[in-house]
Amino acid sequence: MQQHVLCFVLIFSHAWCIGQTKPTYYKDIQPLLAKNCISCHKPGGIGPFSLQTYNEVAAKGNFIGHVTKTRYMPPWKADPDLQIFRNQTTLAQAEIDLIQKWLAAGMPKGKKSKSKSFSTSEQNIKPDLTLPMVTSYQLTDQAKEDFRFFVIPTNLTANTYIAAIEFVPGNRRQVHHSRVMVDSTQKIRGIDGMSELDPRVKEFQVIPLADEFLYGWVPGNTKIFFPPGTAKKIPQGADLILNIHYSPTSSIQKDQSVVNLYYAKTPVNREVKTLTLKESDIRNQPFFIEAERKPTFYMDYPVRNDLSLISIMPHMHFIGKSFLAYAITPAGEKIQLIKIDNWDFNWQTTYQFKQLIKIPAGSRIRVEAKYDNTSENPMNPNTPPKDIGYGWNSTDEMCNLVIYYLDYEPGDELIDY
Amino acid sequence: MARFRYIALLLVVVINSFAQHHHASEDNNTPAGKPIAIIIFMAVDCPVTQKYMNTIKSIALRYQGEISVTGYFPAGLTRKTEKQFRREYNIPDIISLVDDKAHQATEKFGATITPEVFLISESDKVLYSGAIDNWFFELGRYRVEITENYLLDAIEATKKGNMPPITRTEAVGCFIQKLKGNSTHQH
Ligand code: HEC
Repeated sequence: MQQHVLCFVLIFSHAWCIGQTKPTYYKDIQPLLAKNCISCHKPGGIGPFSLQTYNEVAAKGNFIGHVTKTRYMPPWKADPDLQIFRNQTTLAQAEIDLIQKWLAAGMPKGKKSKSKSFSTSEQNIKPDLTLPMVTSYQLTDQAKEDFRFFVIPTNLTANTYIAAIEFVPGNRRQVHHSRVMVDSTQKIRGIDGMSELDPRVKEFQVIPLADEFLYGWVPGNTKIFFPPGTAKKIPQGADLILNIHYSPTSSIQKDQSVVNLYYAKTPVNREVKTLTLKESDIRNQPFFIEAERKPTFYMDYPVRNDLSLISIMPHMHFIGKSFLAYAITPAGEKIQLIKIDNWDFNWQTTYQFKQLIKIPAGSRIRVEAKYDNTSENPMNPNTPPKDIGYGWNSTDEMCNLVIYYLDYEPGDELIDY
Repeated sequence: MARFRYIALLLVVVINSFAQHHHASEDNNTPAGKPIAIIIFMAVDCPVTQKYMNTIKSIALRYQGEISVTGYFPAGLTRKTEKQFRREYNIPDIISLVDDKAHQATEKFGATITPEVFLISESDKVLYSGAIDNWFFELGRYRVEITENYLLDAIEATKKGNMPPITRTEAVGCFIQKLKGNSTHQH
């Protein structure tokens, strides 16, 4: 009798499953793409084409199946099993499978549902200070990679607290990534417009920055914003230093990117601080990568007081391979921070934690950063490989972990913002 | 004597038809034949196609009058998009751009990716097919330095009457969407 019941349940659920196995564009695929792709793949978006209509999607069906299955799209480099981030864009395995099923079924269209709108709720607050690049820059059309520095004076007449920062690429197709630094000495202005390959860059590199990574932007990033009542300080008279990576183009393109600052409106009682783990925090010195070697560098940083982490940003250059960061508490507990298995220089970003993460005093923040300077690494900028040391140029190397944090206060883990 | 000539002719015909149906690499003893055309499958909205336009232009100019360059567009190419595409990438008229919405060329060559190249000999043989060079090694990922110029190497070798060093590679780029009702499998 029991067996019969089981059998009945199985048949029933099986039939129910079959009922569910016919995905259609309007019922299943359109909402999925609207949530995960359209923010970039719309007319004027940073994606190379629009994926908003059935025809647009069906014309690239197999390609979409491929890029989602391989997790190349939507672009997201950090391992989602280890840590979930606020700005995360990944598909669940079930969603990837759903796309495959839809393709296998011949991409059925299904019925259009009643005026469902999928507009993403973007906050439309206006920036308080809009800082465009001083002049527009014209790229070479010789399909060459281009890394340039630009200086934008803020002309701030007082120290200013900002609640959010935003980078808006002038040329959405060519700006591949950018990094915003802050200089309070005004002594780096001469670097404006300079290519990374210019030997004079070295002269500026020795001047200590007020903020080495105010913000790291890759396509798809919107503004980074801080919990209410907290803000980041930009010193009076500071200059923003932009390091922009332009991807190669075969056509004539220009760029004049913009940094938007949003001032803190509520009283600021806590300052967002930056902790940067640098090459000097590496335990197995020297930070020098011999040709044909695949070294791992281990950073170890002792945490002296309780911290609440807001965001994290690993930074390596071309021959970086993988990056792992975690904290070990005095009680021996491991707190996972980030894991990137297949480092991609072109997609580095600020990863914002979903909730503030408490790192108690006495913990150690550890990093394992792997590099591959062999000829097997297609990202190797040198053929044959050369020894590589520290430097700002993308063909030199760096090993950084940039952390935005607050001094911990009880209840921080529960803040919902 | 007449009989000998007849046999020789027969042999040539046999070898020729063999070469046409088999891959160049499979019959290393036959001279490759001179290259006369480069066929490139393209898509206007494919970032990889776009990034390669400069390379394609320079190859076309380098072999102008000697080897023709034709781009086929499996996703279609209207007059208007052709005009825009030519203007944006400053594509000279020596490169022909052809609408292949019906997939005649796509299916003839078995193209699956844009950009994917086919180097064709005077006897309509495929001398080389695949990637132009090894710039892209994965979607969205490209070398800082190109270390293999497959197409150029194949052209130079076959111009001298030699076999190309490499006759086939996997192109990296955008998938060509098969026409509906076509059961051929996409890799
Ligand atoms: C964060 C913005 C963003 C999101 C979200 C996004 N894409 Fe993309 N996509 C891009 C960019 C930028 C490129 C161009 C990459 C390049 O040129 O290297 C791209 C390229 C592609 C390509 C062409 C492959 C290539 O390398 O040119 C396909 C297909 C694609 N995306 C599909 C999707 C699908 C499907 C989704 C959702 C599941 C999605 N994308 C989500 C930004 C995005």
